[in-house]
Amino acid sequence: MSTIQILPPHHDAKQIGHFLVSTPTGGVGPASELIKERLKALGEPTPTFAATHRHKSQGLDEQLYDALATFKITTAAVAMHLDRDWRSKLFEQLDSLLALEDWEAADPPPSIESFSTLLRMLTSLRPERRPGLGATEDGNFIASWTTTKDDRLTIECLTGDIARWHLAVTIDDERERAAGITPVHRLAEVLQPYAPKRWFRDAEQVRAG
Amino acid sequence: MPSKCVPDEHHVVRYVPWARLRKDEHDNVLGVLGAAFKLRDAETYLSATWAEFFAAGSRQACVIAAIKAIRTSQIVVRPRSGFAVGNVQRVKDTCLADKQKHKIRVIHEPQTDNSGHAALHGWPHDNDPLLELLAEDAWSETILNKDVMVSAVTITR
Repeated sequence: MSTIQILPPHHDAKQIGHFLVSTPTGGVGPASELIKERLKALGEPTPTFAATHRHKSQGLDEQLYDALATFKITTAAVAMHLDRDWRSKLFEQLDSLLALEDWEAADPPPSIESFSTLLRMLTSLRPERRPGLGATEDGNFIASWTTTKDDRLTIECLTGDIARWHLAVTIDDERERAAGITPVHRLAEVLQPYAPKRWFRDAEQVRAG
Repeated sequence: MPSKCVPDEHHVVRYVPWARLRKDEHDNVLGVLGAAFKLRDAETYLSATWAEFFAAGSRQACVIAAIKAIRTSQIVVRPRSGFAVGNVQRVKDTCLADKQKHKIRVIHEPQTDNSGHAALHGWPHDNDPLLELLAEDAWSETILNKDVMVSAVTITR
């Protein structure tokens, strides 16, 4: 008599979303609407990934695993709008941010609603440079860009495609600050007076201390 | 032990989780995010550790002693976390200069697991621009946990 061992299907979260079959599209306007629709649909909790109402009985490692998987699957839905290498490195950042050994036990994993806002923002702004990623104590993603001149842009991704942003720039030797809460689709316009390319172009990359 | 104010010329050290460190796109740490100083809903003051309480000599030695105290407290210090160091006077001045004029009192309130614990009373619950300013300036000095060995630290500014 032989024994068959069945292992729980616990896949490597780092591999989720890396292999995609997508057809790129070129249109900007319709594409934007498509992203919006897909993110809206994916923002709804499913039986498989009820990320917005995780069971408290779930261990932290399972919560982080589920969250990471959800974020990558959500990203896959709009993969055609993100460069493959850019997306792959974003996944590495997500893996790093949500690493169990570095995660605060008191913090909930970032919510799928906040991630949808982050993704919507990234596909809207289309920055060459990816942001540094962080998270608030109450489950929102933080995207930040910093230049060599210490010009800072920090965006907290709230639910419902809303961004809470702060910036500090030096213009003509004067330090200037601004802050606001803005729908993601208007961010590019709101940031325009501060020449946002300073943050989004690769050439402005900051060197770590 | 009676509570007393932490002197203005002294420093406070706050534990900063990996998720609240400011990074570039390659995860190089550049400093701390304003979110590092945000109160949780149930908190009524901001917790930190009084560096000079440990009277270890130079400022650097005091900061290292404070970090060691944090490591032995109930806080679970994660490998890639960091610590933000701020001068008491500068933190208070920055808060008072805000348009909401927050008057902060930095009180030594020892706890069973950290005799150098300091409580920053009057800390705002909802003033993100001020927290970003603190992270950029008055409380921006950042030390990574991995860099704190027995004797040497690297300070990112």
